[in-house]
Amino acid sequence: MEPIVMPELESFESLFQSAPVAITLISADRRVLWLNKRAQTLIGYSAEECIGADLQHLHQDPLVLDDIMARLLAKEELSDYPFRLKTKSGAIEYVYLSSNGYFEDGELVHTRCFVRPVENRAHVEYIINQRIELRRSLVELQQSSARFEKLAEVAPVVIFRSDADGRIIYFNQKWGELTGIPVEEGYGQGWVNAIHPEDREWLVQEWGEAVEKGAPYKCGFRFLRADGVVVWMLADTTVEGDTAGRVIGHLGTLTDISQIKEMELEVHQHQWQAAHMSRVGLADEMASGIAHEINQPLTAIIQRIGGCLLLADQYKLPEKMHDALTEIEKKAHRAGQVIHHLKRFVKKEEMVMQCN
Amino acid sequence: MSNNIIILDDDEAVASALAWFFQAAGFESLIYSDVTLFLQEMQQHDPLCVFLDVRMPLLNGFEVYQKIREAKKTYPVLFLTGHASKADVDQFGDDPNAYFLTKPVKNEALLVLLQEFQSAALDRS
Repeated sequence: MEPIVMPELESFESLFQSAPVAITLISADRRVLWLNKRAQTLIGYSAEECIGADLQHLHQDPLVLDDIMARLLAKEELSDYPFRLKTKSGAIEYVYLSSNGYFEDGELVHTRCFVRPVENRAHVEYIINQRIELRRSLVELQQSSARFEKLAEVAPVVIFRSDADGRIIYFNQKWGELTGIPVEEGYGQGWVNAIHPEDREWLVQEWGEAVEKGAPYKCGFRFLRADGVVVWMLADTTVEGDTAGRVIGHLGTLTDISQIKEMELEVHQHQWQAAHMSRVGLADEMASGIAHEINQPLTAIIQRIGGCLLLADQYKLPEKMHDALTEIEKKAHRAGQVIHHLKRFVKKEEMVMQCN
Repeated sequence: MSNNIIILDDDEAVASALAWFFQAAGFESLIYSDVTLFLQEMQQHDPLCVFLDVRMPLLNGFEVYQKIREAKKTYPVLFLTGHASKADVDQFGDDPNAYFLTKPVKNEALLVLLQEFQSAALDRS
């Protein structure tokens, strides 16, 4: 068997040069590196005019060029991809492109493009216009997405996104500000570490149930930061679905409601205090009434006994009589002290006992 | 200055018990259960002191005290009250002749005060 002899490299170039199809090599930065004679004929430029030139001069539709480059960068093989060429004379040529990228170490070095004329313009015109619209929508979507991301980053609340299984895949910067935990550490199940230990178990369980049902979820809970500060949060999530109605994730916000909680607590305290004051007021009124009703006869008894003691001395009555009167006087004063303590117990106001 | 003590109290039992004690201690006393009557007759008296119940109808003890001082009467006024708050006592802090006595009052304390008033009256005369 005769050994196969490979032709010289120059023979390959000669082969490509004379091929009946337009062939070009395009760099990753969209410049023409090489083109064969058929290609030069097609666009009307000589190789000297063309090599090094920006490819966009040859494309009628910049969005289509963007689409082609994006597909090739994504290692897609293009086959009969229609586009519109702009020739030197200004004429528009409808052509099919078949191309793929040549990569080294994962980087696109150049693309090999094979171009042939289109037979049915009307058919490809529709496809091209569809591609332009699609690309435009994509660009708008990217811009809108960029706007959303910017908005999310400056939002005064934590914005998060999870996958369908409830694993967090996005937090805005507010997460880090509020929890003190870097955004990346909060991803997956990392966010659980920011939750107050007392709220951790039930929150994880309820969130898991909402994810399983594919249902929205709303609740209040607490963050416990490393510096010991407790932050009250309100979580509010909504389900993110695709066009077929399948759950692809959850979108949510976490709002700092610490101030509202503090105000709530203050209102509760005031309400409690008002109720307490009202109870104390009533008790004070009752105590005052009882004290007055008992103090009056006690006063009469004590002053009567005081007179009796003086008279007992004057008339030299037996000492037993004197002792008995003194004992009655002591007991009456004891009753007076009980009344005084009762009043002091229900009344916060400082009371004084004078001259006694 | 007489040896008379005026008692203003609408509670007859308390007023008469005080009068009984003062009499046994050697003092004459005059009871008014009607505040307006006392105010009408105030100028006729120059007592050793006046005992005022704080809790009375029409005018309370503090208001009667104001009328007494407005009439330039400087004799000691002793308020009888179930309890004296610090605020009550403080408002008479400038008057050395205003006293607060918490009911029921100790007889020994009453005697000490009356003797002080007597010796002060004697010093003045």
